[in-house]
Amino acid sequence: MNEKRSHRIVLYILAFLVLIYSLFPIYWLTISPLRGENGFFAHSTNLLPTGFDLTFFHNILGETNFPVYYKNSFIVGIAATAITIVIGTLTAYVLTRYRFIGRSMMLNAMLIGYMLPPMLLAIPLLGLFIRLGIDDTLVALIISHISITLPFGVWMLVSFFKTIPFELEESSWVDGASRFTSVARIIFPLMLPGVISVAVFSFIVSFTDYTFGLMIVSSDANKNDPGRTCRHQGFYLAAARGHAGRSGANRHSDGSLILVRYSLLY
Amino acid sequence: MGAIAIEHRVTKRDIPLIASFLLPGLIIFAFVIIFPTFLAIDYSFYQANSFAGDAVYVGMQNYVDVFLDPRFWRDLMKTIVYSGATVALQMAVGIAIALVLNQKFAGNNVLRGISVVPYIIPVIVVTIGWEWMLDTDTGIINHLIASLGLGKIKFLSTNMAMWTSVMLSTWTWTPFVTLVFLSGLQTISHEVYESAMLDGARKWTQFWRITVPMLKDIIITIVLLRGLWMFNKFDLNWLLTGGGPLEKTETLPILIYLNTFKQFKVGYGSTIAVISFFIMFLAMLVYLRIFRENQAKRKYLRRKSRNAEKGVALE
Repeated sequence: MNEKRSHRIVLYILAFLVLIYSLFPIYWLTISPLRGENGFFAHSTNLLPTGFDLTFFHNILGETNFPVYYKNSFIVGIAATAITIVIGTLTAYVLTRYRFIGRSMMLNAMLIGYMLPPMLLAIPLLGLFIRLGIDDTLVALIISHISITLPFGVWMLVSFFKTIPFELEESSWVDGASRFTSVARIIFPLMLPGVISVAVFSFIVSFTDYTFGLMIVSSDANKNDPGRTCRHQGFYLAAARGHAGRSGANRHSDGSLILVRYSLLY
Repeated sequence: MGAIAIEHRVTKRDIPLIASFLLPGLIIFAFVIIFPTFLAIDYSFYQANSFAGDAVYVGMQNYVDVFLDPRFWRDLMKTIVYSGATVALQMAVGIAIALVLNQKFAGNNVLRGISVVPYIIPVIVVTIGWEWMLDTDTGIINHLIASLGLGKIKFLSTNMAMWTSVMLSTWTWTPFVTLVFLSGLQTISHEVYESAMLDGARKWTQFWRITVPMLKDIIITIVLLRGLWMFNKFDLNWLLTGGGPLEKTETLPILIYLNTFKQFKVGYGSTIAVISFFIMFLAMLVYLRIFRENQAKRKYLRRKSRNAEKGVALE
């Protein structure tokens, strides 16, 4: 009995360590900017929260272009996710349901596509965007995000769809439903959990992306006009110019929003 | 049986549906992945000083230049060290956390959610946050170290920057290993461990003799995926150090970026990108070859033992 108890204690200590490991930096990023301009450096070694001063957060929202970057991030994230989901679901459905020549080749191509270095794609994509005249726009960013989310999305969806009992669909054909209605009414609800996971994944990838934003949107600094500028450069500028606390604050709010989204979905 | 039963042979009736479902995906895939890949290979045969200007065809010259550039080889080594070290640490920490989370205790579900946090916050948040925490003068980490009576650590100095970057990368991407390994752990039934316990096997032995062999496929897959991703990792190193100090943390993706987007040597940058992809691809094939051989061997042994059992039964 005693041994069991010591096991328990060790387990809780380990669990506590996991908690600290995962959450301490977030905790620190939350309490540091809340100390306000006076306490930010003065209390920087105090482990407990020492103030509740919203000045930094207020500045970020009021005096910078942050709301615009935020809006842009959401537009790009939602558009990339929506396209990934719609196209990915259609493709994955066919790849799961039908056996035809080239099917496994397509699945492998999707996987290899996901393994391509972002650099290898970003260089020619930027070349293409310049030729099409859409470089430095949100559309370009959406397209480049899809180059990461679509291949992996299809791949994940196929593995989800493999577990769906598609016999249900056939019985609905017998009942006289058309192929399309049977997919929409019967199969789609079953697909939903997988689709949601892929949506969360795509949105996170797009929303947290820095690499493509840096290269596609702000590689040519002269071309940036604030209305179209994406958030990444904004982040970077804020980080370079601003107060460590200020940037800490906006970064954190970014992180916590994603967290809220994530926890809502699960 | 189930997996096979859901697949259909294509009949004439299915063709319109297949075509309309598949076509948008294929078009986008061709536009955002296949075409750019070939375009990058095409770029690597040209010398260009900007994205828009004229390019001069130089054949294999860029490849010769890259292979003769000591900076390329040095950065390749750094990339291998960086990805090797981060993958090893991610595996160790990720598996350790998964083993803790696989136990039963109050608040387990909450902790599972929390353990994902480092993975879903943007890299920029990770770097800014940790830079603040690791600051030599005002950072909490150095304060804690000092309170233990130890000297201050300059985390972003020439000697430490690479390891700081490895540490941060480990922190951020460990949850991927944790999540996948945890889902694998849940497929192992308790009975296996219980019988091992009756045989007097210690936890440590159980882990190496039961858990690792049973989850071998998962481990192999995670190492492969993480290895490829870390090899291509650009954002964290770039944001943390920009490749510095003194190019100490300059990995291949950073070298590509500097060449292409700072000096606008688009052809040269593309060449390094193409070469690094082929190195990665070769490494992946070798890795999979080793893994597949093992798998084939195991299948063979399994069949053999099954046949042997059958033989016994027949007798």
